[in-house]
Amino acid sequence: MEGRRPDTQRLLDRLFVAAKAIGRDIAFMEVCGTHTMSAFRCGLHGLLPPNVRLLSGPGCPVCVTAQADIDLMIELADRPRVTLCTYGDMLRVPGARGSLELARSRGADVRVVYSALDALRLAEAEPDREVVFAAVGFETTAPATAALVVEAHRRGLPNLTVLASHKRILPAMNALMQAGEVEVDGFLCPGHVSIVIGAEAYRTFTARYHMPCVVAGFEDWQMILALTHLAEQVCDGRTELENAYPEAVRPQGNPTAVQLLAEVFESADARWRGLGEIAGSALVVRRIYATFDARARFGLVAPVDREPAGCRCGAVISGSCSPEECRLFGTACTPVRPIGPCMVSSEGTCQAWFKYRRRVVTEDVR
Amino acid sequence: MCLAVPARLVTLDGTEGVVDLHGNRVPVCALLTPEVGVGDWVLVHAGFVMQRIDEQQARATWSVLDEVERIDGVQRESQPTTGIGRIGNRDGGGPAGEGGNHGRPPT
Amino acid sequence: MKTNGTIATADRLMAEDEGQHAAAGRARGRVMLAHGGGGQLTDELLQTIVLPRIGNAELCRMLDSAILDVREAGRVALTIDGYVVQPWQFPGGDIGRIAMCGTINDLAVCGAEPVGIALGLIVTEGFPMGDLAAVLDSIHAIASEAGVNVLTGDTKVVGCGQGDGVYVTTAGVGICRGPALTVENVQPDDVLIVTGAVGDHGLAVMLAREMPEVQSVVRSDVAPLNHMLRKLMVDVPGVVWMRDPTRSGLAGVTADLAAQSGWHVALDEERIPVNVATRHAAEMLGLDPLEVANEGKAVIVVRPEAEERALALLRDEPYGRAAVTIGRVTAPRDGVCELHTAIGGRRILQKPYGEQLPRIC
Repeated sequence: MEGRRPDTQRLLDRLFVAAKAIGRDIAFMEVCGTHTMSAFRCGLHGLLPPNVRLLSGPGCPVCVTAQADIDLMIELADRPRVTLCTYGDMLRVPGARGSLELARSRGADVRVVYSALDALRLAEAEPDREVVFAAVGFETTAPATAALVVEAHRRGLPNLTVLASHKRILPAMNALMQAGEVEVDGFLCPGHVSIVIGAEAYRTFTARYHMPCVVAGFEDWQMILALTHLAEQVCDGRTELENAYPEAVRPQGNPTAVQLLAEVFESADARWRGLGEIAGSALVVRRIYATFDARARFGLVAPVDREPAGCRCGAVISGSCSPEECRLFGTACTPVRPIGPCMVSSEGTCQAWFKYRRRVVTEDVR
Repeated sequence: MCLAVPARLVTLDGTEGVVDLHGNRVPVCALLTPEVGVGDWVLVHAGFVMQRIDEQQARATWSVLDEVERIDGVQRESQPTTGIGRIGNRDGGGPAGEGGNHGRPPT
Repeated sequence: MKTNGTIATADRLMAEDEGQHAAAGRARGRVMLAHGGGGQLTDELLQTIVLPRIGNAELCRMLDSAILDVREAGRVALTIDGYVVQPWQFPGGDIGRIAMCGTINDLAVCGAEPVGIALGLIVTEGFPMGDLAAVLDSIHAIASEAGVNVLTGDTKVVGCGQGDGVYVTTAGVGICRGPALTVENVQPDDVLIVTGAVGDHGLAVMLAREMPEVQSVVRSDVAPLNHMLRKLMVDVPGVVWMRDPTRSGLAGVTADLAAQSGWHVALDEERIPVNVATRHAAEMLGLDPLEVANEGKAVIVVRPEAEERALALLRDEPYGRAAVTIGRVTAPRDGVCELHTAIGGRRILQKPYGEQLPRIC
């Protein structure tokens, strides 16, 4: 569906009009790493009205994955006869003992896959290897893992498991509001997570916190449209749930995907970087599918979490600190030598900031 | 990570399909969307079809964007989006690094 | 007699068959360690596989060194590149093609006229002879098109499990003509031109390697640019600086331009040509077409008064049809390259960090 683009200038004008009418400073938060990246890539931050800020919340699944889980992935990858399959994003994320990439360089069998089903094909092709799929991501990606488990069960595969680290976004949004540390006037709700969970999923949240919520797509104009809707709500004093991505997001989402998630996963408490323990925020494999749960199969014990000294990823993730306010940013912590996941992940706030906003000044200017 | 891309479903055999992504024919699994059919525009994520794109809704979104300005009922002339001439000419938005800063009070 | 006739027919058929194979240049068998030993088997390899394909007067002398007469030259350009692309063959080309074009283009963008190539091959034992022949055929095709011969070479064979089929190294010599193209000459108001769509080579290789199940129209753009750039240098005064955006892509080259010249470089995102299929393949793989290698493109900085003429000349050439201005050098002296996005926003373009795309060149 290439071709026509809306007049983003007009949309921005509307945003400016609403912002001016509001007068005071306002902040909207997005909670999706892809929104973080898209906003930086189109230079959106620099185009907003002076009293409007766009904050990045805990939307990068890689960044919020507990270091303990990454250590488990690496530990498994290091075992003989284990093939660890992962999405590319996880490859360089640092755990306590290096990354999956480092493990691969010392001989661990780590394979990048583009689809969860690649792990299935691998397990069938190499029956004497234990194939483990590192399942990271929010509700957009979790159904693929669920499909993998169901299919593996159907085929009776004896050598495939998933190491599930999937997270749910709504419990995190709730936790953010409960913590009360961030002042937010509205949320951009993640468009592709919403394809699965549906626009109505945010109804309770909107009502409970009297919070304008707009489901947003990822094109530049779609983000501007959503921000404009949010600003106009604030201007009018409304606190509504709106869907600015109706071509993809249905009110009830994708029922098949939701059903599949319920079949394979159940909610559990989990620790998020920067937000602590959040009830019901993780998806864990149900006992009936324990055969395909790497935690059960390998009797994994989660190692103790250790935050690197000085790392402020937690605060960055919860939107209460900007990357530049972390003293490690740009000095000890860079994309080449990252300390925390916000700098490693291609959707991490710190990496985006470093790549797209930081100016390297030459001597002349100084 | 969450990116789903729009593509056209060109073949479907049970749950195994192929989408055309503007010249890239990509095998996909349609397990999550039993209701899609050949010819549909769909959103694809990590090898799975996630949803059928509702073209009617897409058109509705476009028509909202075409609506008249909110204030004064006056339709404003929009600036043409051309190339090099735009550089440095945009008012009201600073260059990257200034304005709309994350975590900083606005100037 | 009938029997004799039958035998004679069989003999004739076999001879024809051999002849067909020879005529088609079809090479059979596999490369063996001994082929790299410098002895008789090496000679056989050279005589039956290598020289028939890329041979020329100088190469066939088979001396330890090729002798070039460059007395006319004030300055001589020298460059070298190693090629380890995986897979060795991909839509639009192969390792032989990029080995020749890469080195020829490196000379051409420095304003040098390539006069000869030194070719090094490192082949893994067991590599099909037919594949090696295909690589050499590609080398010949480029040598012929670009008018640049391989004047000297070397072949080594490593054991099974060492190397990945074939590695190619090319060193190139060129005669510098015209004014020196140095980054110090770049100044505000200079215009940036790219000779065509970016991202094709890197994406073609990545798809071939990572997603072979995807059938794509994306093809490597690998091409020799020496004729086109020579013409540009001769016919258009005001060419200031050139680079070919290979590894690290367009972003790498423009970021370097800003950093090395010290000036600000402003690019217009909507002007940068990217083929539709490439753009979407990149999105699918999580890659940025601006950070991906090109093997048949050049980024050219010209004085503003030369812009129109440069574009007209390039668009008249087969490898420059889609040439377009994509940006400008400006004050201040901040060494920053900034991309102006479709919505009027800005983002900084930096050289991509580390190994984004392994083994694409």
